[in-house]
Amino acid sequence: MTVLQLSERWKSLSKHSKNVILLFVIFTVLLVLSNVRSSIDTTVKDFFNLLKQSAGLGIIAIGQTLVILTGGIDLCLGSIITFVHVYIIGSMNNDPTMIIPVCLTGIAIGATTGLFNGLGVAKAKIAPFIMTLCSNYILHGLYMIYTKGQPRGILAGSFRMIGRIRVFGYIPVIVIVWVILSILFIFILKRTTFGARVHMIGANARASYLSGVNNDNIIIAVYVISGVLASLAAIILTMDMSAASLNLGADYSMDSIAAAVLGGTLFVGGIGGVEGTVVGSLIIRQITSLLQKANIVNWGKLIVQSVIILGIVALYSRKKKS
Amino acid sequence: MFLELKNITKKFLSITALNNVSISFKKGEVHAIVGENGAGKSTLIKIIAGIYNADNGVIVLDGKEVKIPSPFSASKLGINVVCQEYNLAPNLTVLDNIILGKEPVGKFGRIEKNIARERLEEIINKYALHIDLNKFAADLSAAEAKIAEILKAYISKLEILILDEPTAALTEDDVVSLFRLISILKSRGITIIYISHRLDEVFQICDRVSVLKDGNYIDTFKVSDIDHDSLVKLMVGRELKKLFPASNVEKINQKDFVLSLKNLTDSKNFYDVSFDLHEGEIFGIGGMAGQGQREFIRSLFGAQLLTGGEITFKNNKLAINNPKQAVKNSFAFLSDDRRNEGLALTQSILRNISYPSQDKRANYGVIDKQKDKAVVSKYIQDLSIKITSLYQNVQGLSGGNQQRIVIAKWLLVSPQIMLFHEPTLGIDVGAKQDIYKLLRLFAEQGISIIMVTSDMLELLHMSDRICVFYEGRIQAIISNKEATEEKIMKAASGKSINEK
Amino acid sequence: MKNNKFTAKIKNYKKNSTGTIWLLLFAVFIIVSITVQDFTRPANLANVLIQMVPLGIVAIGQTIVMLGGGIDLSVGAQISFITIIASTFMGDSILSIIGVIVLCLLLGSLFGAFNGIILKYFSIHPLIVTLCSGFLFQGLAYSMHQTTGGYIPSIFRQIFTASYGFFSVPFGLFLMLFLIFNYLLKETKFGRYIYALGGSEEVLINVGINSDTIRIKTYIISGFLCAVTGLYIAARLRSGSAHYGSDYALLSIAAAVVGGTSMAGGLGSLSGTFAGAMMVSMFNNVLNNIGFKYNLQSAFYKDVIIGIILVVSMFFYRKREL
Repeated sequence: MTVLQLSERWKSLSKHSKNVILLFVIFTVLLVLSNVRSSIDTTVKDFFNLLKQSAGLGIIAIGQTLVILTGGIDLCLGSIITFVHVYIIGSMNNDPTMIIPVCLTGIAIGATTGLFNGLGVAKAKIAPFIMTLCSNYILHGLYMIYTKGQPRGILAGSFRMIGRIRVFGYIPVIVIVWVILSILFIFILKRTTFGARVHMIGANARASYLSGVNNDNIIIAVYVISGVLASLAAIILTMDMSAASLNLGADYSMDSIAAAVLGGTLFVGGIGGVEGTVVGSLIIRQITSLLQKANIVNWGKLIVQSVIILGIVALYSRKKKS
Repeated sequence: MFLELKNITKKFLSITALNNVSISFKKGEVHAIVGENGAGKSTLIKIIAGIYNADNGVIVLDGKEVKIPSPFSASKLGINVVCQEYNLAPNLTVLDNIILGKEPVGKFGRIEKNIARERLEEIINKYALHIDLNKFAADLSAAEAKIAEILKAYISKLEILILDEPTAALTEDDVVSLFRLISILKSRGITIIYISHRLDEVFQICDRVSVLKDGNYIDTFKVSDIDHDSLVKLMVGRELKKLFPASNVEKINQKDFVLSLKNLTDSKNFYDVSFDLHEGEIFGIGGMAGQGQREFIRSLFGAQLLTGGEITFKNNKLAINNPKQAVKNSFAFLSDDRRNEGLALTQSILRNISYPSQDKRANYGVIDKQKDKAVVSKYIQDLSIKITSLYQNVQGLSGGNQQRIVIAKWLLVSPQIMLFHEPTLGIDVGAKQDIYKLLRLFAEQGISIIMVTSDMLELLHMSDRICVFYEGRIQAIISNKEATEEKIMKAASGKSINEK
Repeated sequence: MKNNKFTAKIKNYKKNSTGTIWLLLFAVFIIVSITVQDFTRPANLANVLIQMVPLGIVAIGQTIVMLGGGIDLSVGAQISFITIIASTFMGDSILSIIGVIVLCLLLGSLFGAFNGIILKYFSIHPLIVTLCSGFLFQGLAYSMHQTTGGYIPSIFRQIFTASYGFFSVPFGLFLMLFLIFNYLLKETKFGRYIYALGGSEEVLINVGINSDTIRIKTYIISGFLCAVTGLYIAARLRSGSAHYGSDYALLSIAAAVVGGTSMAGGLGSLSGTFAGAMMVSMFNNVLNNIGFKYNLQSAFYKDVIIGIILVVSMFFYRKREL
C-alpha cells in the first residue's frame, strides 16, 4: 500500500482503534526494550511467562471492560476473587468428587454478586461506584467470617493437576482460557446485538431506551458476566497455588480498571473494547516484570504504572480543555 | 447607531450560517430579527453575545470597535443574552444565581446576602415581578427562569439585552408580564434584540424588524411600515407551494382510521385528548408551548406515563407503558432533543441507524454484517445523507443530516405511526425542504404522522388537519382547507374559533 | 426547565435534607444505647467521637471536592505518605515538631495542587486521575518505608490525643475544621463557586470566574486535610506506615454520600457528611463492642454491615430516571 493509501486508512479508523494500535506499539516497544540484551530463547520464555502472569488479570479485566462500557464501574472484583479462592480451598477437602460442585458454587457466588450489583444499579438506580463498593465490603466481611482470618483447606490433587497442563508444551491452561474468552467477548461486543446495546447504553442510555431497548436487562447482564469471569479467574488461579492467600484478590479491582482504561475504554461510556484491554493487561504486568528486571523494588511498580497510565490516557484525551 | 455589525461571516464546516451580514441597532429600541429556521438568527445573536466568534467582520459598539471573544467579555460590555437553554446553575437559588460573580462581600469574606436581597426585592416589588428569590433554579417554571436571567443581566451593566424566542414556553399571562418588562427596560434606554417565530409578537412590541434569509441580510423596516404577509414573503422568499409539497386532503379523509385515541390523560399536563387518525394522514399539533403537547406525544410512545384513556390501533386496544412496547407496535418517535434522545453522538452512523431494528438483521443475536451495511447504505442513499463513511461519528454532521439519520433509523423499524416533535428544529433551510418532501412521501406510503411543532408555517402547510392545544386540552381541530394563521392563534389563546 | 438532570436530584435532595440524616443518626444512637450495654458510658461515648475524627476530617475534604463535581481517590495514599514523612523526620525539639507539621501541610496541599493541575490541562476523568495519582503517592510511600515504623515524639502524641472525659483534643480539632470549612462553603463567595462548579461549570465561566482555579483549590483543600489526618494518625499510632491510609478513599466517599452528597456534584453539605462519618464510625464502635463481649470476629461483620447500610442509605439518595 502506498503512503497515501495508508494515511487514508488511518484517518478512517475510529479513535478507539487508533488508541489500541498506539497502545500495541507502546507494548511492542516495551517488549523490545526489556529484551534487548537477551537471547531469543530467553525472550520467548519471558514472553510466555508474561502471558501467564497477565492471564488472570486479563480475564477479570474483560468483565470490567463491559461494565465500564455501560458507564459503570466494578469495585468488588477483588473480593469476589478472594472469596471464591478461599471457598474453593476450604470446601474441597482433598476430595475429587467435590471439584465440580465446589467450582459451580464458586461461579454461583460471582454470579449472585453480579446480580446483586446489577439490580442495585439498574433497578434501584444506585450509582455503580457505591453499589459495587458496598458489595466489596460485604464480600470482604463474609469471607473473613468464613475463614475466621485463617484460610485453610486442601485442594484435590486432580484439581491441581489441571493447573499444570501445558498446551503444546508451553501454554498454561489459564492463557488458553484467556485467549478464548477474549476472542469471544471481542466478537460479542463487535458483532452481536447485545454488544451494540452495551455500547449504546454507555454512550446514551436515554437514546437506547427510546429506541425500544430494555436497558435494565443489559446492565444486569454485564455485572453478572463480570462476577462470573472473576470467579472463573479465581478458580483457575487457585489451581496453581499450594496455599490459600487472603491477599489474592488484593489489587485486581484497581488493576482491572487500569487495564481497561489503558486499553481505551475510558469513562465516557460507549467507547472502548476488549481488544484494547488485552494489551492493557499485558502492559500492566509487563511493567511489573520490567521493574523486577531493573531491580527496582515493588513500590516502583506503582509509581511507574501510574505515570504510564496517566501519560497514555492523556494521549487518548488528546484535546486540551478550553 | 448604537451597535453595528459589519460584514459578518460565519461558517460551520461547509455550511455558511451567515454571509457578509451587516446590521445596525439603535439605542433603546426593541429590534426584532426574523427568519425561518436556519436563516442565521441564532448564529447572529450568538456572535453578538460572545458565544461564537465570527470568521470575518467587525463589531462596533457605541462608536468603538470591539472584540467579543466570550460571553463574559460580552457581559462586561453590557451585552447579555437570554437563550432558550437556561443559563442558571440549577442547584443554586435564584438569588445566588443572580449575584453569582458579583457578590457583595463583607467581613471575613462573608457574602452580604441581605444587602443583595434587599436591593433585588426593591426591583422586584417596583416592577411587580413574579419571582421567588429563594427557589432553586431547577424548580423554576420557564417564565420564572426568564425573569431570573433578565434580572441577572439587569443588575450588571446592561446596555443590550438579547432575547432568543423568549415566549417559547410561556403562558399568555407570562407573555403579558414579559412584554411589560420589556417596555420597562426600553424606558431605561436598554436596547432589546428580539428573536421570535411569532410575527404577531413582533408587530406588538417591536419598533423595527430585520429579516434574515439563508444566512443573508435582507432588509430592515419600521414595524409600522410593513405588514404581516409581506414580512413572511421576505422571510420565505420562495413560493410556499414549492417549500411545502401538496397533499390531497379528500383522498386522505376517505382512508380508514388507523389509530383511535379516546380521553387520554396523564393527570398532570393533558386531559381528555381524543381524536382519530387516518391512514397516511399528517396530523399537526400546535398551540403555545407548554400546553401539554410535548407530554402528550411522548405518552403515545410510552416515554411518559398515561393515567387514563384508550388507545386503539388497527382495531386492537393497546397499552403502551414503555418505548419497547411502542416500537413493537410499529410506533416511531423523533424527539425534539435530537442530541440527547435521538442520537448517540460518540457512536458510528451505522450503529445509530441500525440500532432499534438490529434484531431484524441478526441470527441468534449475531448481526449479519453485510446485510446490515447494505440496508443502512440504501437508506442513506435514499435519504441523501452526506457522509464520508458508515463508521464516522454522528457528532460532526449538520443538523439536517443528523435529523435524516434519525429518520433513517426509524424507517428501518417499518413504522406505521411516526411521532415527530419539532421535525425541523435546528435545521437549515435547504434540508428542511427535503424533510418536508420526505414527510409527504411517507404519508403517501401509508404511514400516519402526528407532528407537534411550534413553527407556524410548518403547521399550516404540512398538516392535513391541525389540532390546537390549550391548557392541556384540545381547543380545536381544523382541516387544512379551512385553516388560517389567525384561526390557529385564536384557538391557541383559548378562544373559540367561531368567535368574532 | 431543560436541565432535567437536576430537577429530580434537587427534589430528592430537599426531601432528604441534612435534617433527615441527623434524625436517622439520632434514631440509631437511641437504639444502640438501649440495646448495647455500657454504650452510653462517658468514656465510651468519648471514644466514639474520637474514633470518627480521622474519617471526619478526610470526609470534609472529599465532600468539598465532590461538591465541585470531582472525586479524590488519592486521599488514602496521601494520608499514608504523610504518616511516613511525619514519623521519619520528626524529632524531639519543638522546632522539629512544628517544622514537620508545616512541611506535611505543605506537601498535602502540593499533592492536591498536582491533582488539580493535571485535571486542568488534560480532559481526563477525575476518577482516573486521582486513581493514578493515588498509585503514585502510594508508590512514593512504599519507597520511603516498607514497613511500619518511624518515630513520633511522645509530646506530639500527648497533645493530639489528650482528652478529658467527654471532651477531647482530636474531636475539638475536627469540630474546628468543620466549623471553618462549613463557614467557607456556606457564607463565602468561594463556597458558592464550588457549588456552581458542580452544578453548572458553564454558568460559572460565563460570569467570569476561572472554574479551573476553583477546582484546583478544592483538591488543595482535600490534600491539606489529608495531611492533617495523616499527622493525627501518626500521632495516635506513634508510627508511620504505607498502609495507614488504606480504606480512607472509599470510606470518605461513603461518608459523604451517606450524608447526602451527590456523586454528580453540586449537592451536599458538610453537616450531612458529619452525620455520615459519625454513622459509619459508630457502627464500627458498636461492632467492636459486641465482638469484645462475645468474642467474635466482629471486625468482619462490620464490613458486611457497613456495606448493607450504604446500600440502604443509597436507596434514599438515588438518582431517578426521568
